[in-house]
Amino acid sequence: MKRFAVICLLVGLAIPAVLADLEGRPPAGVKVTYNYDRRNPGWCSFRLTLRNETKPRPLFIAGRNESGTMTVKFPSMEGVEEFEGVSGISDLVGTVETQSTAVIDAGQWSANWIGAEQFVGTAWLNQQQRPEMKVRIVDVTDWQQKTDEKRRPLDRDLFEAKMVFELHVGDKKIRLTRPVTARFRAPSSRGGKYAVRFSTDFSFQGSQLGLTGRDAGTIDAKMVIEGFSTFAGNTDEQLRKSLEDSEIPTLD
Amino acid sequence: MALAAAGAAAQTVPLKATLVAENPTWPVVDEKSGAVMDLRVTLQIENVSDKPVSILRFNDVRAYAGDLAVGVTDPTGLSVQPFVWQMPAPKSRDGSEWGSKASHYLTLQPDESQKIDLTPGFFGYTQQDPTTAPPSEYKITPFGPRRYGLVRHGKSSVRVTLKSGGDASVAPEGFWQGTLQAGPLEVRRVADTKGISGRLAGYLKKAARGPKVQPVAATYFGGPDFEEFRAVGSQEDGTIVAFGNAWGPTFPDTGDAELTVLGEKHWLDVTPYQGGQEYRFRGQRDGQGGRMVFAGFDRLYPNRAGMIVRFAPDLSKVLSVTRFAWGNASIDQAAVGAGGKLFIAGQCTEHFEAIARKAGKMHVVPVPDSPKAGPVRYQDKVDLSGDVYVARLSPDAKTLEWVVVLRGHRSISPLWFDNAGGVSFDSWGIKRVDAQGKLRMVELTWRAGGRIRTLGVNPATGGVLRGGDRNTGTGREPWRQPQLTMYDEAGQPVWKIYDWSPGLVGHDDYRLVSDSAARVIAWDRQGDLWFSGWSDGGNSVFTRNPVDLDKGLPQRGLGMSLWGAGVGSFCHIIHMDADTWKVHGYMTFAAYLNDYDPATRQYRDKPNSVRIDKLVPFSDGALAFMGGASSYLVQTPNAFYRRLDQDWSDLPAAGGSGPFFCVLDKTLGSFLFCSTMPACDLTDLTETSRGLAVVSTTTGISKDYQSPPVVNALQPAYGGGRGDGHILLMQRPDALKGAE
Repeated sequence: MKRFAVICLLVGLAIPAVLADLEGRPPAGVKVTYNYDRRNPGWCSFRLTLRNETKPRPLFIAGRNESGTMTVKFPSMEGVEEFEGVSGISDLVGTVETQSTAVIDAGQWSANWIGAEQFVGTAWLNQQQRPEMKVRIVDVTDWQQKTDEKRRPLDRDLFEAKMVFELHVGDKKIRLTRPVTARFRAPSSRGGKYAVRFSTDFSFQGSQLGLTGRDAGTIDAKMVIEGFSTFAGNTDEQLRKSLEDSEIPTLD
Repeated sequence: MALAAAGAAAQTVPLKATLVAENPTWPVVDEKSGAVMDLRVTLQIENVSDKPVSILRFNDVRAYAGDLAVGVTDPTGLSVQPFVWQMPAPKSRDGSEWGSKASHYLTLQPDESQKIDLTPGFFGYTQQDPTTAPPSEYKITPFGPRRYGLVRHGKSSVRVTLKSGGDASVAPEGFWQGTLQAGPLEVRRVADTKGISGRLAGYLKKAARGPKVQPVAATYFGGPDFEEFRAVGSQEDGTIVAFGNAWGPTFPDTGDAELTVLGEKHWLDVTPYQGGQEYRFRGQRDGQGGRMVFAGFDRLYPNRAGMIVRFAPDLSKVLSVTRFAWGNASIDQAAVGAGGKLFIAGQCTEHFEAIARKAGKMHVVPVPDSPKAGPVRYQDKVDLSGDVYVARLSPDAKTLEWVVVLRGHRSISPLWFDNAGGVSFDSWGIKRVDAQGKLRMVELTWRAGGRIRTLGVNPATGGVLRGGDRNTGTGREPWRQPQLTMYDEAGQPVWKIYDWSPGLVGHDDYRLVSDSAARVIAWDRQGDLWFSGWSDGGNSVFTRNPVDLDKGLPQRGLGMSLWGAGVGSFCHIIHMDADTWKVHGYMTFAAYLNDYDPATRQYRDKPNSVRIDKLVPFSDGALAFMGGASSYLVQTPNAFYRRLDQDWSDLPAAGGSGPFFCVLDKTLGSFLFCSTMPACDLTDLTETSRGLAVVSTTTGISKDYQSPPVVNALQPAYGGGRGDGHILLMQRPDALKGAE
């Protein structure tokens, strides 16, 4: 009975905050699973741009999620105590925890063999069969909410973290740890899904991934990865059910 | 039925009005009720004074159905200027309350230079009934909701036809009453952008800034039959060469100019009209009634005679005319190449080979092995060879230097030149004839799927640029992707732009998913590339750098914005270095609606559709282009066309729909001229030593009663028939340097 009362209290506090629709991230204490299945979202949510100062044309790559999941657990119940009435949820207390096995198929390239020497990645383009490119997210750590005083309230969904990921091209790969910017997006009133968008800039040596000539040197990359929860539709109903069913509410 | 010619004011002159006919023998009848829908009354109105009539005023005109049309016939002298009136909707359907009791005015101005010989069925979409109407009677019908127009002549008398129409199910007896009087008419002009708001007003003001190029000369070229200009070029000495066709059976009077006829006459007894009939019946959607409309010309008509008219650099004189004899060859594509050589191409009959054999060189390309090639049947009467040809003539247009006859090829592309004096064209594959007249095929070794919309040869390198589009999808929506692929002179692909993966374009960070296509290509003398892209909305990949989707493009021109565009047809002009892909200039181009939307009760501020058909980069870096526009083109104040508003106001420069051309300075930042060309089907434009030459085929008067410009004209009056050639010479953009 006591436990039921606590849950009721939590529901009473958390649901209005969610429904206020100010926050893109899930409410504190909720664990969300972002599913990187190929059909989620079913279109290209990944993009990667490779630039090399010696080449006139950057290589633009788009891709679709392929497999795996990323679980993001926001600080647990202690954070709830920081709710501040009408202004919504205060800054998070505690640590965001992430588990990831996500793989992205970076398979749509904005170039083919025509004028391959003009593009970054000439050696890849000139291969008889273009090499497969994949990105595997290994882990995301060191989450910190961005504390820009000038930010708008909506930017409370903005975080910085460190992402450990691998870039595979054919049988070669590089493993990188880079700061990323993460933005959480809530389902809109019209439906949709929870989403998290990672963006990062990084550099690598082209030779590490089999590139030669002018491409063998430093290549600057810009990457955007987006994951979506499988849950969609009536947010508050789902959350209410989750809160009632478990001590650690989960959305997946 | 009551009619009186009254003189109510001091300025009035007596008119004599006589009822000529009531209810012609061919009314349109409501099939369900049997009621007469198309009731007409024709009046003969004569000016019996010795003073010219300037105005006809109809007092107390009453229309039953809110759909009253006015026509004036028997044109012999007076020119009736554009006329608009607004007829309120009827208050009742039983005739107890008339729809209008307002006075309506027709303006009549004597203007011999504007005299146009009316021909039955002259007015594009509302044609005279050919079966019953006498040739001297004409009818003009509404050109828009509740708008009526009237333009015509009558030296001493005019014949006026009033007719009810529209949705009237019963036409009451004596459906109109009127009096006639002559008197002055005050035409209200709006000098500024009053009444116009939103982006249209802003762009009109911007377009009005700075000096403008002016017309130097403009003239008709035509006789009593149908003549058309299809292309124009300029020779080194400034001679302007207009290419086109005469459809016969008579050829225009060439005056003192030397006339050269190539070949022997082979006239076939077939009609030039589609379907074999001059008119066809166009039914209404509900199946209730309809009208006879002009069927249109059949471009396969074998009697066409290609003609080359060489004008003096200032259009002050026709230097020479060269034409094929009837039934030999037409000229559908043409241009002036290096050394003033004349290149022509078009359809030809089997008789053309007799002319071709007299040329210095002759190549014959056999019929392609395809069911889409070979002879064609013309209107189920005669078999035509389906041959096309390309030929080069001497600069004086008297001698054929070489001819390529492409048997059964049926169609041919525009002609492209390279700096070496060669010419390329596409007819079942790209073919090239070099300066010595040697023919060879250029095989494009790699052709992606999708449509070819345009081809262009870089004159500096001889490379071929292929533009077009392909249907694809972003994963979220279907998307038409533009394509521009450059091939070298040997046909090997060199580069390709806009080849973004569709998934990338559909990514949330871009969403540039408006259907887009590359439509027009032009190369300037420096070897820089100009092209025009089409999009059906504002979110187009053409707004980004062609090789870097993350980079925008600096907007030039008037800075036209496409927000709120919805689905339409919008253009982008891009000037870039073809070797480095550096973009020198970019602009969007659209028309802008600014009309009242009764649904929202607001004035709309929304981009409207345009189309670009040709780009002409000037040697000094300026740009001219032509195309077609929907309503409210942004024109310069010296435009040829003035849109008339419902209250007879004259909007300062907001154009109507139709063919237009535009001249920009070399920064693309200033409009030197922009105007629709009333009554013209623009076909080509080119840079000349004196300016910009623009050729078209004109019907002499548009459906909203405006005529093309006539300035320092060799032939100031329309020659008759269904069309004449028309050529206009505008000032050169660099002529304005002192005025800036």
